[in-house]
Amino acid sequence: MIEVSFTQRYPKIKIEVSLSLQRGFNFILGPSGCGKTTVIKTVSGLLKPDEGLVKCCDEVFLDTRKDIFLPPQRRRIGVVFQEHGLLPHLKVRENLSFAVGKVRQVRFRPEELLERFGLKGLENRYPDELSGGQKQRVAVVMALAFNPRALLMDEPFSSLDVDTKLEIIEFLKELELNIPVLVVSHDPVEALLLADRVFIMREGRIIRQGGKEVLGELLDKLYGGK
Amino acid sequence: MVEALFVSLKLSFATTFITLIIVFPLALALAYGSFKGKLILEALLTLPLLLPPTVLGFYLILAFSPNSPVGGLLEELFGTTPLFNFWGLLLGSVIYSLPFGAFPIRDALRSVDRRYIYTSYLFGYSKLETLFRVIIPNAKEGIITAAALVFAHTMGEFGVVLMVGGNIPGETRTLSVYVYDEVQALNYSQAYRASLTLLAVSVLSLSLILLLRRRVRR
Repeated sequence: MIEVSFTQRYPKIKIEVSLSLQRGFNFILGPSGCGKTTVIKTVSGLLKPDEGLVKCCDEVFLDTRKDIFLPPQRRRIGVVFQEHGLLPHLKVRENLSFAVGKVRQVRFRPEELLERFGLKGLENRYPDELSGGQKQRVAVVMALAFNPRALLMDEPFSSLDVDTKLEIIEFLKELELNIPVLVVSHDPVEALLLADRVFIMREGRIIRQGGKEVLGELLDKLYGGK
Repeated sequence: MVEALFVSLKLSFATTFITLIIVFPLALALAYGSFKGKLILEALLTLPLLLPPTVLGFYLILAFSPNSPVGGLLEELFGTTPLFNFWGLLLGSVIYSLPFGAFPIRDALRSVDRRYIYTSYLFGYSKLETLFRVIIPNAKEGIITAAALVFAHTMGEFGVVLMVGGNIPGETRTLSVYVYDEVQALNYSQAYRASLTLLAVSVLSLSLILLLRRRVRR
């Protein structure tokens, strides 16, 4: 479990978030600019917020009061960015080797993940020789091969067509990940398909949280239900 | 002429090598650092672009003359000052080439997508490992461009070279100074041959560098 509580002030918005990420799929839903990505950056260590506390199990990642800040290199958190993050100068195989280069123990072998995600045969291609969906799948495989303590995904499906999106969601469900997975999205349908817990975020704050029932209201608004 | 060509080539290769070593950390600091004096550093590096080469050469003569504190110290330590010898030529060329090396590298480093750097950090790689495994491979085109600019610029350099190096055959007389001498002596056929050689060497070196840049684009 990851406990996150932080404040980050930007010129136009103050982000004040407190949430705990349990094992399974946690979704943060909210419009662009509401502070979703800041949560990912804070948990992964890419951002040191103004104030806050981030704990992963018993390990303190961040405690601004005690001036503790663990850099991303020491957190072992997998992150999948919106527009992948594959290293363009490396082939798929080399990207995977890069991802596991610092890992002592792997839960999933990279070859096994490539096969499961339908990427077999693409190992010798460079990222710019892959489709958008393939790139995103490779990014997920890299993050998982890294044996992360948690997986954070920043709008991972936003640039994908529906079929590819559903395919990746199915793969993720099948894997039975035993870690907290945080997916940041603005699409309630993605949450409906995958989420165990949902956090609704508006203007820098979590305004509602709970199980999928939280989505009911949102979907009603979107699709005109009652 | 062969002697002058050899001096030009020696000077260009040495200037390129030394300039890249000096400017790389500076470009890195300019691209990613936030520190006091960043603007001043940028202005200082731009200065050789704005100053006429003869003015820059004149200041170097003043700075390294045996009567100046720096020149005096160098003479005491090494028994000579970097004036009117190959080392002076090299020093002047390196100073004059700093902006041609620093700014393309700074821009290339800046253009490396942050996501790649983040990816590297998240997978556990230190800043130094990220520099060598992610940033440099993705900025290599800019680094090669900088090398090409410094090399080509030094091959054709005239003002600083003449001021700081003088015109000693086999030691400081470069091909561009040789062309100047031959024209002054109204020896146009020699000047023509030397100019053509300079042009051919420049085109050849640039073609090689552009070819290399195309090959490393991946």
